[in-house]
Amino acid sequence: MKLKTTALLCAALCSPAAQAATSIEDVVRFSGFGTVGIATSDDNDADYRSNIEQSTGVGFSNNPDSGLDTIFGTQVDIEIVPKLTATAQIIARRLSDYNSSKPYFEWANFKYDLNEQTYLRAGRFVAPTFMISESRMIGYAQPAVRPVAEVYLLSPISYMNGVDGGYKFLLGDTLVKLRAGVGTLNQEINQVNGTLNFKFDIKSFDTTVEHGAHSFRVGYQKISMDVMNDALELYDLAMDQLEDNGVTNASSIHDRMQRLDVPLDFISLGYMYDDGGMFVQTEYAVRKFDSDFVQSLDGFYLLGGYHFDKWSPYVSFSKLIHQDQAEFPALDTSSIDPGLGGLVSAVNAGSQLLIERDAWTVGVRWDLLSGVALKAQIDHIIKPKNTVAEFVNATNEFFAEERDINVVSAAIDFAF
Amino acid sequence: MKRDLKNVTAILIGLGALLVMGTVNAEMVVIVSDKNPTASVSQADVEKIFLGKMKLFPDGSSAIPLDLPEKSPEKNNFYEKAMSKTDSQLRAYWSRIIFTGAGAPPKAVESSADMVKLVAENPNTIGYVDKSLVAPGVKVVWQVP
Repeated sequence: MKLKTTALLCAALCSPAAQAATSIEDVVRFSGFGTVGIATSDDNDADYRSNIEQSTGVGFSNNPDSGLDTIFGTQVDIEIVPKLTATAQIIARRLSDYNSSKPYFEWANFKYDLNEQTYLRAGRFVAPTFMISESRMIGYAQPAVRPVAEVYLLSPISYMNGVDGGYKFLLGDTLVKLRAGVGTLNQEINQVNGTLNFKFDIKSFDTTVEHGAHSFRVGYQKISMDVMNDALELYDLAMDQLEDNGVTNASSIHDRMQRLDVPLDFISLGYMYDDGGMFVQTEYAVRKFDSDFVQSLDGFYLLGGYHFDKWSPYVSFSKLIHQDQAEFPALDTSSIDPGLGGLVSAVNAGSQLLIERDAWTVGVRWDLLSGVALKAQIDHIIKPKNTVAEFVNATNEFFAEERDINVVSAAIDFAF
Repeated sequence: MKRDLKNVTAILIGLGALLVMGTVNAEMVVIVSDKNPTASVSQADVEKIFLGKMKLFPDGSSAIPLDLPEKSPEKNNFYEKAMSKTDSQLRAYWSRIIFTGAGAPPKAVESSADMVKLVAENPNTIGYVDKSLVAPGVKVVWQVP
């Protein structure tokens, strides 16, 4: 929907030169998108979730679940003066407040185009952690119901508050885009065992090379992370006591369990192809923590499909791989308060847990109307023994057993 | 039986003629103003300018792409022939660009006649029309295959 408020705004704001330019572009543009989805799982012992911020999903808490993939977004772009644009986007989707979905600003920034090739931006914008991070919530722009979870749930970082800049140029017919940004994010994630307060200081770099139907991307983020939580304060206190008591391995384990100023790297290598017929998306992503407090994981997917006019079937294989699983030596907690001892054992056990799974997905997108697409998808997730495999609200049996889980989803995506 | 076959043949010929007409009718060309020094552009240039990837003419001057109205057969035909994008694929592409703050689609003019007029007036603009509508004031820089 476009509002022709050009004349009105220009009377107040624009110079005569600007008026000439705005006869080409509208000054204010409203747009929106969304997904209405429903999913059902054949396993009621755990919740399958579409991103790591969600504290509930389909299976244990809701089955069927209309909140897993449902998203609404609305955006306004205002061209304040030529080359200077303000953008604000509000999103409502399920986050970590259990089944609620409070709207929030996902994007809110000023962008200045120095010229066609260079921009500077300040404010809030989505962290370009992975290949399609920035557009992952726009179902209409994606082939599948949701971005492949085995990569996209590696990061809880959605947006960052800061500045970034981009430069693009042509090498013959090849388009090269370079981008760098810095920012911070304070994030609260509610989990079964309490609220975790995360603080991320983010430095982000990415390069995209496009040639015809091919697009390659390399992304790198260097992050310093703090995790704060009352129980974790007690954990540190208890570990200090064990160290003071001279308990064997206490000091080495505590050193490996840092949760403040933890260096965290995200690396992503991605490739996309779409020639109007065949389409391919593949990505390998690395989440590397320099601490055993959180697991270092790699994610991978290969998705391919074909556009048969309005029907676009697709299939994907994806994998979540645990790198350097922590294994702590024995720790005797009998010298401290039993409650604190129990907490130490629980936190240490949590950090040594395996996180792995594979998934196969088949689905089809049907572009039934202009701006409206219908999708149906089946995810077949295979998890080994002794892992919740990034499911939540899992029973002990689910954790202990090797399982195959089938999630069937349907969604309507729209954009206007 | 024989008559039936004749009817079928007639229908098939009719359908074939319709198909042929559909393709013959749609000879699109990319146009710029007479005042624009650009002599020709490539398919890659057209794709980059109309998809907002790099809105520059080969000589480095600013290019402002213009679209024909939403849902017009000429617009669909242009994007399908010039860059193998159906209406849905084009919309999906622009929704990704718009909602990541990376740009906006070309402004749509009201008609092909309007397109020719606006392109003739502004040497930075670039548009597309049916070949038969090319008029004084604009020149063809690329023939859509």
